[in-house]
Amino acid sequence: MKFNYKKLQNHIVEPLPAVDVLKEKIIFHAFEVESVEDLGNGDYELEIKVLPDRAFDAKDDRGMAREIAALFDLTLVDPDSYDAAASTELVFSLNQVSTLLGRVITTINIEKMFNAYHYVFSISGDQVSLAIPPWRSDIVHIYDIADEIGRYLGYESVTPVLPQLSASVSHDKEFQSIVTKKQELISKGYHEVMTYSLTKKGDYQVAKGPKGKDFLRTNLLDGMRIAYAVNKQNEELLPNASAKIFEIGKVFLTTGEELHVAWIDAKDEHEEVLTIDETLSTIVERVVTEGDRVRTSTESRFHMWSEYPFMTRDIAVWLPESVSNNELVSIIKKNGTELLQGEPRLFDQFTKDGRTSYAYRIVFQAFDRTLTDNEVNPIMDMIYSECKSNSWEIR
Amino acid sequence: METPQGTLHPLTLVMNDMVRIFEGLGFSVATGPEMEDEWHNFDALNVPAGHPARDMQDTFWIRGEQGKLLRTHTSPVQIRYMENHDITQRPVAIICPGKVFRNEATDATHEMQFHQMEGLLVGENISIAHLKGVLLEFFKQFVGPDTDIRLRPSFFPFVEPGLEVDVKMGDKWVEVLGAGLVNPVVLKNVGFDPQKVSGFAFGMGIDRLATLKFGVPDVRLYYQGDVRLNQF
Repeated sequence: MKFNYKKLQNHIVEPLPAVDVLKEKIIFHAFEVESVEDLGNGDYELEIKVLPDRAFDAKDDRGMAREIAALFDLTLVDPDSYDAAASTELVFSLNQVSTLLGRVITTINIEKMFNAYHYVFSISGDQVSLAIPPWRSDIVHIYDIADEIGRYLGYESVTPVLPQLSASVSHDKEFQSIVTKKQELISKGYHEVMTYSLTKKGDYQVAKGPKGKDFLRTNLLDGMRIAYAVNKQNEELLPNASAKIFEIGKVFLTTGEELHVAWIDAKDEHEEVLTIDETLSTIVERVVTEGDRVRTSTESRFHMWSEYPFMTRDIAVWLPESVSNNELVSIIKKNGTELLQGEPRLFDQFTKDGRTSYAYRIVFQAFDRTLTDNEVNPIMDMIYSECKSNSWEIR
Repeated sequence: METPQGTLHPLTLVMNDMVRIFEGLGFSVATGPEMEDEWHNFDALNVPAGHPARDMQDTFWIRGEQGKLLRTHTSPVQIRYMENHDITQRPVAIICPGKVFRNEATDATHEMQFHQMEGLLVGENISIAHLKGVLLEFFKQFVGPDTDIRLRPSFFPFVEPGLEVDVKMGDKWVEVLGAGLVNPVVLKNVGFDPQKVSGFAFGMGIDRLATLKFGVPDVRLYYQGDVRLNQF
């Protein structure tokens, strides 16, 4: 909803605070301010997302001015008044509001806030009685009071408290079985994928769904086969140069929703209902291993891949016993330029007559073009010549 | 030769990491169906038919199945859990990671399927201070010890007060999740007595957190089945 700074000013006696100050206060105590447009001549247009429960009282300049006046202790040109006797009365306890917010709310807090909004109220000990103003019919129960007081005082005034919960947790068995199965499959060299639940055929159709993809899948393999074909093409770029994949996910049959696991590799494809291991203890200390932490705690950043084709080159070199193959790898990496993708992959190794032959596959790819032999051959020549200068024999 | 290890999907890594932190704080994992009914996805959560909040979440309704839908959030799992829980015996402390669906146009930041993690704590005298305590501790472990959180007023029908939570990442505040105290209407709907217990709930997008953590440029990459995504 759009509000005009000068029009808001018309409703308030004192000069409004600077627009930045105004914006900040509204964001942390009332509504999200989505944008401020400078209209020139000291005027601004504020785009304010009035929350659905405040759609009645903050729907116009006068309503928003009431909110601003209360937040900044300013005076309305035409102050609010209402017939308290004709209003609904809400009685609440200070102690209860304090408990919900997790901070002490005093009579002073209540008096300051309710006076700022020109509410009619009375306080007796711990009990507060509020005559709900007719423009705030959204205030119904004590949670609404907690909402009002919390935002008026600001949530930075609530000190974080960590609840003391029982140390042993009780995960459901479906989740534990999923975690266990994933660990088992990656230990067998499979990579996890996730595909779409919506597809072109199935037992259930969604209304107004995306065209050609408005049925719920009845199996995982249909989607995975398409993924597998793509991965097979890119196999050299994948971890372990392997396109073996698995997925665990829900499928939707007329007989009900089922949790499936499926995998595809060069020899086999397989899909079954994931067995929920009922023997798993529901009380566990930890289901997730520290290993998962190590991988995500690093400052790892995602590297987008190139959409252009890659090119591979194999190199096999005889190294004397005294030389480590790491030296060969560093020569490849040093000369590989930015076109080299990932680590050179050792795919063959054997020792004969005091020398070892190491065979590496090297992958080249550019981000902005399809590579040609003319670009890659000189790189390989550099690698060959450095090997030769070490007196290593190229096979 | 020994088989080299395969890789987990980045969303699994992030989800596992989140579970690891929350289980350390005493939260247990709960799951529920992806095809839901209107009661658990909307009505029980104080979103009755005709409520404008229903339009806020573009729903995939199942054709020919009255009241059936793909869940639009993981919040129905909290309803299912609370319906079967004796709150007089012990508090509810759960997290619900899972896939959710929205019928909306897709782009680099919107996908018609994504993952959420719901958190719920209900017991005696649970407050906003506890919500802040749990979320601050979570993000200190997830983002780093120097992070901070801040709460802003917002609105979701199933909580009151409703809050938007920003998290400090580097020198920037990022809007990451919605939260609040469980609306007493929701507590009543599952048979709890709002005079005796209170609670907080929060929900955050796992895909969004993974994107913030790793810098994946397009959320649609998560569901192409392309193993080049598994870089971690």
